[in-house]
Amino acid sequence: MRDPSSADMQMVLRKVLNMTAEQAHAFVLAHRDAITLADTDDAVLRFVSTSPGAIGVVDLYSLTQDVNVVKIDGKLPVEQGYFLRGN
Amino acid sequence: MVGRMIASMVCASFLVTGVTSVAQQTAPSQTNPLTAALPLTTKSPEARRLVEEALTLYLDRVEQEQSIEILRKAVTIDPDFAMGHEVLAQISLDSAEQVAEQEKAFASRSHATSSEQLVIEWYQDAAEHKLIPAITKMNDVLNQYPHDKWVVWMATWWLQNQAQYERSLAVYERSGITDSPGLINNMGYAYASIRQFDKAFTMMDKYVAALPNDSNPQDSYAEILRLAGRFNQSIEHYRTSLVINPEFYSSQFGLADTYSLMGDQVRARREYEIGFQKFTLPELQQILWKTREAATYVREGDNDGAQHAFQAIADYAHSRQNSQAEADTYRQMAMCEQNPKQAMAYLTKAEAAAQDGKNALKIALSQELAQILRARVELALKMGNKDLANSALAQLEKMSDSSDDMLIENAYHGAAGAVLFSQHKYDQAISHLEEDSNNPLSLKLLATAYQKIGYSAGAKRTTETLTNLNDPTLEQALVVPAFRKCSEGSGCNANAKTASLKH
Repeated sequence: MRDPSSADMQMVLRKVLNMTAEQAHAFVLAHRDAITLADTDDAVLRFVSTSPGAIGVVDLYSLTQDVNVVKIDGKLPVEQGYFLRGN
Repeated sequence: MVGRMIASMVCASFLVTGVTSVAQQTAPSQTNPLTAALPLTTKSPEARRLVEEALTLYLDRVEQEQSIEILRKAVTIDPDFAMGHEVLAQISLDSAEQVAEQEKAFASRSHATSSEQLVIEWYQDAAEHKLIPAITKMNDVLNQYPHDKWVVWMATWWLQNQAQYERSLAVYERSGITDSPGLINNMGYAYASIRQFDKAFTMMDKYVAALPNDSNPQDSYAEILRLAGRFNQSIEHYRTSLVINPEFYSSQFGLADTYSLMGDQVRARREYEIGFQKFTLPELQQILWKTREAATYVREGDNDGAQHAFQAIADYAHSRQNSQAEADTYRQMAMCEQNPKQAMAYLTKAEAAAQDGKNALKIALSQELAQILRARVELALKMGNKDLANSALAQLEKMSDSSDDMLIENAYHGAAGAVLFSQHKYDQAISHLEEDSNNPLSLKLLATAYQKIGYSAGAKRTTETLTNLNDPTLEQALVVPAFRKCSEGSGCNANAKTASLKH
């Protein structure tokens, strides 16, 4: 995942983790074997595409053909009511 | 500034073999991304030279019509030149030609390399509302050719059409290209779109310095100054552009647009008429500026004048068998018509024209139908006809569910927000209206909704955005002047006044 204190991660912190940036940092430290931080969407994509079983979060417009998009509640990012959209 | 985003949860592809295969096809191992250039495959070296010349003329010299003529020659020499057809489809000013050339590009793509096929399929996916495949193909092309000027131009241009201005700027920055006046120009607009005017003006200074004897840098500078509300400076730059090249018609119409935004509609119409008499315009440009001229009557509150001017445009579009333009014009007539029954009749005509579907891309017709449904929802709300509003909204929701086109989705959110606002469900209305935050009609409701729920900072920010909106569009004409008047304390309804004054 991207650094929890980065601007792009604010929505994920709020909607997925329900944590502050500090709480998220502590959570990442406590799960270093399972969570990897990346500086950019490209780095997330590189890691996910080469790590079977890995899941990451990137901006819709960063997608490449190297990864599959995971539906949330049966919805793709472009569908009405998709969970991960907002400010 | 961080805008609204859509995040995607991604996992490793299970189709490892398939992905590897595509990667081998599309990224030749001998290709170095630092120097790689997108191939332009044709059996005719002359056709390739013509397309390269056309691209330079279009991007860096803004000679669009000359560029189109050259591209037409290129695809006549080699009718199987897939990228030649694709570039022509993208820059043509004739809607029928855009449709035909996109079809030819797609049909002839087997004559091109896998990279060119990826470009053509990216645009084809975009035209068919398939946003995720379009994005992945764009990024795959970009990853192969991050420093190729034409690839960077195609990606930044497409992203800006998707309102992804910050991403477009990131693609440009990564490219390291600093010597393309056309890209500098586009990035100036990208900064202006996110209201970073200081950076936009820096880009414009570079653009003027790169082409001091050309009109377009002055014309772009003028437009960005106008967006920033610096009207007198804008006019100076438009005048300079016309001194450099008196035939640069976009500056003549830019002058007219600027006078209209300044509130001088008589002067604006005089400048439009000078342009129409002096220049023979391509069809889409003729319709564009005739529409802007019609909006001057709206700014004056002259309903009869507006309807008369719009009807002439609808008749012209009909005579040219341009269904999308005809539909769009009837929709605009409905938006500014005071009599609800007559407005509804215009929307019926708009729908009929869109259904007719002559000489328009499928995507453009779908987008137009969505806009018409949105106008129907707003009109029904004005008439107090809840059933009609709900039924039009349901149709729009169905369209939006089956499409991933941003414009259709925005139309749905704007309409859904308006319905919820009318029911005083402000929290729910806000979540929809925020999705349509480039539309003055939604911004106006959003400012009031924020105020109603006690979010004063949001109301203040939205009010400022709306007050400073200087696009010469009909929506701006319908909303912003009245909203500004309201901010000054006179002539507004209670809702708007609440939003604009109490922050």
